[in-house]
Amino acid sequence: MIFKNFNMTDDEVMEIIYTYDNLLNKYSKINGKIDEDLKQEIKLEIYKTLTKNRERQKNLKNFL
Amino acid sequence: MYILSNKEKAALITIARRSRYDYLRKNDYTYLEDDIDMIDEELLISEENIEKTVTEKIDGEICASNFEKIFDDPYLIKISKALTKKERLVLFSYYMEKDENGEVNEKTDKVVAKELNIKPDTARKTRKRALEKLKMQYLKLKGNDENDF
Repeated sequence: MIFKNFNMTDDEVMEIIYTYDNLLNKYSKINGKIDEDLKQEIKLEIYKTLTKNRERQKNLKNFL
Repeated sequence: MYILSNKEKAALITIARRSRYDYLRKNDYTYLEDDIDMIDEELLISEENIEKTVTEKIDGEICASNFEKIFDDPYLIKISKALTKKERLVLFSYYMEKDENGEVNEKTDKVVAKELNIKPDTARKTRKRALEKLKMQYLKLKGNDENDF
């Protein structure tokens, strides 16, 4: 897992997403126009990736 | 604020790119004027290269389709359709294509391979296979097992 910080809050994740808004816009363009659905999809995917280890980390702590 | 490392930034780009690809595939987009992936991968080719590639492709198509026309025997016309495009192309290059002087001469493996951008060994094997196929099919059609072809 490249993203090492497993304890990112929702705000932190959203901050990253807003920081890289230009990047998201670049990848959301279809025929020169920003496709909002596609942008949403990318945001969701990034959110999922950045938060998916939260639960795992929590379970691991409980287990130990 | 959490600062992303270079690797994490690269991972973010990969996520965005994959999501985009999935989305486009899901929504049946086939052609995009500004395909970001193409730009990022530096796959853009110059006009000169496009022209060359298209000419080569068209040339290959014509050679392959013209191959059937060189036979007079109806059996051979039928059989030639059983050959793959590559096999036709190789046979056409070996026996039909004119050289620089405008004469039809049998070419060597090396010359054909260079023209078709394949290995000489591949050209030789493909030719052998194609001739073998033609021979077998011809004999099968004629109902003759004699090896006089």
